[in-house]
Amino acid sequence: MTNILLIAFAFTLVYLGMSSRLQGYISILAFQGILLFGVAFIELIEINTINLMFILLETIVFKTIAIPKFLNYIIKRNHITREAEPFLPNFLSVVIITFIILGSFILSNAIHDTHLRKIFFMIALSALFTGLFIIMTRRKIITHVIGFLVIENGVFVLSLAVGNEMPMLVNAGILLDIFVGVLLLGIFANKIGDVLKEQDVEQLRQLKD
Amino acid sequence: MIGIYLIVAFVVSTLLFFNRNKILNYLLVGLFVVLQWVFTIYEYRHLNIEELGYFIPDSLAIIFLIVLSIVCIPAFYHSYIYFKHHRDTPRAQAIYYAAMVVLIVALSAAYLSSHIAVTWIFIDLTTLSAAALIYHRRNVRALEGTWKYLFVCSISMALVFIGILFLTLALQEEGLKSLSYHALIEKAPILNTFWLKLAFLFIFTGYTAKAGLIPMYTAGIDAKDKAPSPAGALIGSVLMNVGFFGIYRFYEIISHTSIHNWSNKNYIHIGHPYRIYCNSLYASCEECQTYACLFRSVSYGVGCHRFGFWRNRALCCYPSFGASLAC
Repeated sequence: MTNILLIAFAFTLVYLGMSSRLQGYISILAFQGILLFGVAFIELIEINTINLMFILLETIVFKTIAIPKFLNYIIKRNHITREAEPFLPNFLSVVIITFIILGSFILSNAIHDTHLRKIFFMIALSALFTGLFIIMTRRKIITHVIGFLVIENGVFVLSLAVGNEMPMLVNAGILLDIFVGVLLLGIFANKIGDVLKEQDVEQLRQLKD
Repeated sequence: MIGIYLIVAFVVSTLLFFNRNKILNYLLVGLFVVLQWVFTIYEYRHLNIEELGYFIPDSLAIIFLIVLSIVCIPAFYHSYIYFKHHRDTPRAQAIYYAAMVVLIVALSAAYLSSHIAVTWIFIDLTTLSAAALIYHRRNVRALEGTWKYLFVCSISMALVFIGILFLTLALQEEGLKSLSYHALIEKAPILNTFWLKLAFLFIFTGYTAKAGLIPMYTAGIDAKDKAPSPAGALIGSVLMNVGFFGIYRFYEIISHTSIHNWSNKNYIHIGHPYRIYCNSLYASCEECQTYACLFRSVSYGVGCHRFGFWRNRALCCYPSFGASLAC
């Protein structure tokens, strides 16, 4: 079951490349939250109840409900256009993300380690590089934040691979999530909307001399 | 003592945040400086005694803690002069002083932590407090500098966390659980070198955002520039030291393994071509001369840094690197 959920997670990464609307990106993030909830619920059944509740709460409340709602609020409040405005055509994005997943798959298979759960490693690497790719190839500030949240989801997948042994690390990962979520989205995405007329990275080029 | 220090510092920063009275503000800052020094002296006199399970004041931590305590005095004094000339609102001043106290406390705790994940948590906390300082002027440029700093640092901290997870995979193979530096150094020779190499690459890359080194050095350039000068001095010196501190702690672990030489060579091989590429790129751009100068200073820092690693005396050269950047 975990494998199915993680493969579905990989498909969401490909869909990220395909989607041209911001709403699509936000829906994918919410869906990834549900998938991570499923994986966490199956995988971390051995850890104590409080830790498990904390992790499940984070995946459902934070990743699936709070962040997508907040992103929608920022888009409405700052009148951000619906298009994601990538530098590259969507087709090329899909091809590159597919290659990223394929490369991660080959890399994971090249590792000969009996303790390693390769699918976790593969999905985490794919999410990491896909997130970086989204950040590099999208014009809007909000899509940069979405790219970062994809990286965060990848980190969460990797932390689940060690979660039963070291729940503290999963909690630390959650701390990172909440920290960035509150700070990046809550304060600065709003402030940037107030100050800059267009929510575009091109606007952030004043600091040079 | 560290428990008391953290609680009192938290209370002081909260009071600074809500207080609008100037005299009380200076009294609280004075109280914090005294607390910082009492804490530093206490830790110096209780070398290598574990506190709260996650903090050990070893010699490396004490050196950095003393540097921090020295630097915080002129930083607070110049903040006082800065506010005398700039006449910011009491609210902006309150946020500034509270953020500075949180930054110094997070740095102190990061230096003293004996657990790799606890170090990471406190270094992450420095991003939050430094962001508040950089955004102090509340204009477009400060906002841009803050956004860039936050974004690059957040990605870097995520990379460090991935590195820690790889390290955990190496530990799990051997049936180990402790992530304290002492345990890691002890068990380093038996850990899987593949995971250690991956962990080194990720942790090193992540902490370079704080240390102002290649490849994530871009985080700090605008930040130092846009923050008020005393805060910029802290960001350019002690905050960079903490990045180096994170790298050095992990390097200490690596130095007990068979990949010690690999890590040294790798560092040199990454540094050289990138340095040449960036220097030529900046030289060709007329608008980027400040960046070019800053990049060169970073490059010299890398040279210093590398020499330090080569000789295993990184500590000797690094404070000068931090100081040069602060200037």
